[in-house]
Amino acid sequence: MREAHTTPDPQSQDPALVEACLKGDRRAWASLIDRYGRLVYSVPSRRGLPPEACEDVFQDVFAILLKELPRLRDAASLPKWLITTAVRESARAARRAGPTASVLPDVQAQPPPEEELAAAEERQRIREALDLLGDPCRALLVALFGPEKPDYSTIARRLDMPVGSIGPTRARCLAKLAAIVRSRESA
Amino acid sequence: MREHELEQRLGEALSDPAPPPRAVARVRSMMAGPVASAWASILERARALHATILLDTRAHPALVGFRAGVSEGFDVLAASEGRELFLHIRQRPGSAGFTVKGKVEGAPGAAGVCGIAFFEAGSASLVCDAHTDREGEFGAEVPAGRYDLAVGLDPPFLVPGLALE
Repeated sequence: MREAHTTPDPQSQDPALVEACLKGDRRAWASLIDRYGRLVYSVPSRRGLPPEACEDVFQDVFAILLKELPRLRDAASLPKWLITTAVRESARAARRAGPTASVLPDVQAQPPPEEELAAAEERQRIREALDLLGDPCRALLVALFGPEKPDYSTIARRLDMPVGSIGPTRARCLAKLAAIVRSRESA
Repeated sequence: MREHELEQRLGEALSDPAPPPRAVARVRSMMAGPVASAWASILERARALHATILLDTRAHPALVGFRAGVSEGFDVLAASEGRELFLHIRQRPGSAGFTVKGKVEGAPGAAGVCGIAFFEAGSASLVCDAHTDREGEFGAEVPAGRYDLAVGLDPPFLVPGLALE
């Protein structure tokens, strides 16, 4: 629980990063990409676009961001801006793929942008909370709930921990994560 | 929030794929200076001289005095023809990226500043670069991925396939 209070909320650093980017600070630009790259990439990916199109959307969104930085009025709402732009660019990419492309029905079948926006922001908040949690909890929860889902003996070997301690540690780590999520939601 | 609800939200958050390093490199380079072209020729020469990894504490978590986890950091030591590259790598809180602090030692003539560059493994895509100070120390912020790390000494050398994930 302590991490939630001692580690600054990543999103609170956005205005300073945007300001630094405007001064040409490459590290600040890299930090923004690290922080929000997965969020941006998830939009076309979840809409069923092929990997090449996802990369194009990812690149286009950040190119637009770089161009629009001086006009970004509210840097604190950057995640919303990125998701909205990614949704728009994904639709554009799907149109470019043409009506015969198999991606189009999948794109149309997705929830409307408002729901998509809320869901993407939620996933981003969980990932940020997970990063704030730190290892070994972070590594254990990623192993348990990530897409790979290895069995307990594999996790124990990888994380160098006894199989019998995975269950209790899992419960403790989930409780810590819940505390971080709660503290950020009420902030 | 109930535990099963948190588990479900966690599973959804982790199911989003990360962008491929080459795409990250392209986007990063949008704010890059003219250094990328200069690194191309150094990389070509560095590929002829691979460093040997002498230590990677991720593979030896029980080593006393060394750090081994991703968030508390881990250490890598590589060597090539009497030159050594020491790296301390740590995941940044609240980010998928890594902070790398390093030191280049034993350069002939100990002539101070040299460049360090992270290329996407097996390619010529420059992801980020940095320069040492006169003590040979440097720092860099690097996204998760697999890298060929070029050290711009004379002759340059390469630490291939360094995984930051």
